[in-house]
Amino acid sequence: MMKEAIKCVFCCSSIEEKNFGIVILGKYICADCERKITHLTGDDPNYDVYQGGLKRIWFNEA
Amino acid sequence: MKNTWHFKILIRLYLARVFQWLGQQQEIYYVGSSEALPPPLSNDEENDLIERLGQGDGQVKSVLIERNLRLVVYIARKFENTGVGIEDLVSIGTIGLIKAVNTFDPHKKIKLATYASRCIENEILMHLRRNNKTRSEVSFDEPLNIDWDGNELLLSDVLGTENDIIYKNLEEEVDKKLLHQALLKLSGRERRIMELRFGLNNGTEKTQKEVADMLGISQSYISRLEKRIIKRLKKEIHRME
Repeated sequence: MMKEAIKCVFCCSSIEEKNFGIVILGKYICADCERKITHLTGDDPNYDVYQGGLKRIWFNEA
Repeated sequence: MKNTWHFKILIRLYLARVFQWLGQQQEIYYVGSSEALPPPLSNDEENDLIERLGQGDGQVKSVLIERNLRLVVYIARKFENTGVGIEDLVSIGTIGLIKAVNTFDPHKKIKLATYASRCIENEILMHLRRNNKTRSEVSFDEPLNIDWDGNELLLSDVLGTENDIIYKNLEEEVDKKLLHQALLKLSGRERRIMELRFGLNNGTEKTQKEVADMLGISQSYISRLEKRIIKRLKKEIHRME
């Protein structure tokens, strides 16, 4: 049986050891998205994307 | 062997939850879920993880974030009276927590919880300030008032430029054309008086005395002529309109 690949909840890229970022409430975030979140500024056009994604993680909808 | 790294992290996170369940600590739940949040780290646990974080072990970041999620909820609740939903506050606070764990300097003698609290609070405050800024921006279609018949008075209805510059310019253009046509109906001397007095044809306005001197007639005669010419121009323009 094929093992399902672990994907980043934001960019859906396959997560391997080399690009592993963090796990929050059982959801994986790749290193690249984690870095982007760390450097997010309030006026970043992607702010709502990451905030919405984290909201879905909290709501268990991701 | 290659694929075991993420299982290790998951096992670590689940073990933390089992210990919490066994310890019967007060539980805080996920938003919209009955599953409890992991408990905060003990001092020893936190020191151990932070030491490993300082040594470059990035995998401990997940544990540090998860075990501080209660802190996010605690701080988010302080802002519940701002009109922003708790789910938004919690997700924004989580951004602050991720920033905190990634920028925390283990060599500084400060507790992670203290540093993370500031980051979470800053993140939420930044969002609230940004929201307030947007709220102070008003749409042109913002209804200012609604009458009994349900007709809306929009902001755009009462907005205008200084003395309605646009319309004024258009009206001035039309008036200029009419004036030019009316001037053609005057005699040569009458037209000259008007041109000199009112600076028509891109000239400068001259006083009645100056015009009188230029034409070799008295100032009082210029005054009388001027009144008569203006009256006639009005009549001509009125006829053309």
